[in-house]
Amino acid sequence: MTSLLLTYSYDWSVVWKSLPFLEKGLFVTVRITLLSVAFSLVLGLIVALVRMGPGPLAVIGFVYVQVFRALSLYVYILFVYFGIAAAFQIDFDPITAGVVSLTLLNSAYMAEIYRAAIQAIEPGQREAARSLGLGSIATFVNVTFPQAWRIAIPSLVNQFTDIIKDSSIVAAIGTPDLMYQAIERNSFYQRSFEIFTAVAVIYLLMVLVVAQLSSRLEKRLQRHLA
Amino acid sequence: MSTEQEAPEAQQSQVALPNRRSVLKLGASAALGIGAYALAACETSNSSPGTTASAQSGESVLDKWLSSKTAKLGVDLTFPPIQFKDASGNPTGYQMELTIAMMQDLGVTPQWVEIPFGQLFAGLVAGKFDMMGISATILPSRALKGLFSSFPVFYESIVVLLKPGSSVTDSSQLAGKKIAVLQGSSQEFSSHQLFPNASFSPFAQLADAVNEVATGRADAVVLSEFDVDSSKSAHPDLVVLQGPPLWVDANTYLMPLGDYKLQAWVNNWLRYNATHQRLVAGWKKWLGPGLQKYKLTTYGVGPGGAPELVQGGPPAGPAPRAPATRSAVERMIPLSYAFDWRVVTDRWHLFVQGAWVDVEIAVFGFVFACVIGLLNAILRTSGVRVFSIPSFVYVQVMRGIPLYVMLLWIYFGIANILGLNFTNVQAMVIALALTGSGYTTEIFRAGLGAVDRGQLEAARSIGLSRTRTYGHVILPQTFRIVVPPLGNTFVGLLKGATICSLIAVPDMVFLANELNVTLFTPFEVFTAVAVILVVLVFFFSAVVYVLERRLRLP
Repeated sequence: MTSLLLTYSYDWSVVWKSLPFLEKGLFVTVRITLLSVAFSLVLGLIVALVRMGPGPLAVIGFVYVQVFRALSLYVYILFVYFGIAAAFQIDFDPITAGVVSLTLLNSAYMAEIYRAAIQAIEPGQREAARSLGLGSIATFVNVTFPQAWRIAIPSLVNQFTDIIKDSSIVAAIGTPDLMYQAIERNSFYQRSFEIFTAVAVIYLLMVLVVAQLSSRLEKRLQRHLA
Repeated sequence: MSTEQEAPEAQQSQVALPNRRSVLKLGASAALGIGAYALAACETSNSSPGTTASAQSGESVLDKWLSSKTAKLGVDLTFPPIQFKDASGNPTGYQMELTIAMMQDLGVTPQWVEIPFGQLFAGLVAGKFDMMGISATILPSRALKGLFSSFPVFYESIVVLLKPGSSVTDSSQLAGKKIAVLQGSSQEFSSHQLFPNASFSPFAQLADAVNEVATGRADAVVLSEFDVDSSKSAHPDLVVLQGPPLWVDANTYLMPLGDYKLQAWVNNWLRYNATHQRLVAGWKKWLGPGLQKYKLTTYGVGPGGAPELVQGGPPAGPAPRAPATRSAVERMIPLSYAFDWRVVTDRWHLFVQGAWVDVEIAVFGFVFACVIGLLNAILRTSGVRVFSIPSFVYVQVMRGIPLYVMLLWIYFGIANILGLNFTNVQAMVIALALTGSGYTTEIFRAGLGAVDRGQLEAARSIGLSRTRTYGHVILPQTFRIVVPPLGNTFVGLLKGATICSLIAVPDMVFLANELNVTLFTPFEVFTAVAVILVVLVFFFSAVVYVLERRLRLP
């Protein structure tokens, strides 16, 4: 085994030669990730509010959260990109299909994060705001949400890093993202170790950068508590 | 399952709650609504108006191309020298030269829609593109769902590459061996008939199938003669099985069913270029060097569409016949999607078996992830820097790498440099165990930290050894704390396990893809897979919930 490790002739030049492709793919990955994060932040909040709403609305929110948390991205993206398109002629291009799938799946997680955060706000806050004469919407916007948001940030950023990683699955339907470019370059050079190591490093760096930014953000947001 | 009667009304909204089907429809309609919203929102992405086969509206794709001056063509550009991207990323190769020339003759700009080969057929049915820009083997089952040109683009001679040091000298010795193939290719279908006793591993990428043989995990790969050169230059140890090709396949463009106007034009274009020797000349240009090196027999497309021996080894028997002008099974079928739930209901047990594969993989991955995670957490909390720092780095790395990247890196990358020939199931388990261990480490760390330090001191002061303190005092309390988050991790791993079909593990998604390639029913099969996954996850979540209640301290 060790002898093989030593005799394998590494050819890292394929990584340099592939860089223009990987760079193109990286932009697609970043675009998909950012769009999905933005949409699922909004949709997640809506779902959380629906989930905490009255009777039948709560049931819909509950079902939404349960179903979309139970699906894997790979299964869901095949369903959206091929299944729904074939049966109902709803045609997404690969990037849109990726964004739609990532948004639906992650908004379910984000809804639960928001819900936990909103419920963590002491009821007294809301009651105080209402007794000052603020309407229920004004209370939510000015009192409850700003506090809940701070509680939710670390978990939401965790979700952000999950979206970065999950986005690699969109390569399975031919979206020209970082992963797809890597697979394609591998079929060209047939150098799987070098190419996939490079890709792993790129994803790792993205995740670490986002995690680092989030810990700074978290510290800033909690400065007033110190 | 009585779903087939309900299928036609699947688009209608439904008011009554909450049986399982309505739950699904809710999901689907939510998906559609939000999808439309997202579509509107991502206008920057290059979405253009629906390409869904225009035969529906009575207009031919050809008319649409001529009026819009653009054509959406479905391709997989990972097959040098037939179709691939050159060093600057432009499509090239025998096939692409022809397709580009054809589009130039029409005065139309091609738009390439890239989809992995095995999914191209689902893509055609889903209206992702107007026509396939590359060729597919003419198969009777495919002709039921798509319209082939009746003139071939190329003939594909099927040959065998053997693993290094193989003793096989004749194709008859392949019975009982393990054979790697490209998923959805004609090699996959015909090999099953030719070698009924062999076992098969179909891969989404041909490079992966070849790699499987180069690492010795499979005995042979059945592939086209034009793939031999690139495979041999990447893995020089592979052995070409000498002798005549196993068989010869005709390949050509695949179009939407019923669009005979487009087909007639494509037929004529191919016939014109074949009589002008363009097809044979292209074949010589792109395949010549490789064929000379390995003495392979190959056929170009002659003036009448008949196979013409190009060069290589001795001709093997009579030259194969050209395909009939029109396949008997090609007939008009309305293009609106006909739901056929029997595809699923007839094979329900196969789907369940496939799901079981996912569960098994997830269970093994989870067990290893727990073991690694626990050990790592103990190192991390040891307070000794030599241990805790590597342990910290490990967690960051494992949580930062996508499962898909990890999987390909282990299965293909590691296999090449270490010669560690994991089976595909083992590779999936390892990938899950490694990514999972990043999470379980953090869970165990939190669990160990949550046990009051006084407990440890008390146990030590009554004379328990360090091992006993951990075994009898700390760990039992830790377990109560870690069960709920570990349960969530398991569910996460189960969902992750569904990507195993990408390295040819025969799970439920793999089955769904296989059915698509022959039966073209993406909606039914992917719905089935999604339903099974949701049910499984609900079940395991319920188990975790019950455990959590039982273990809770009074």
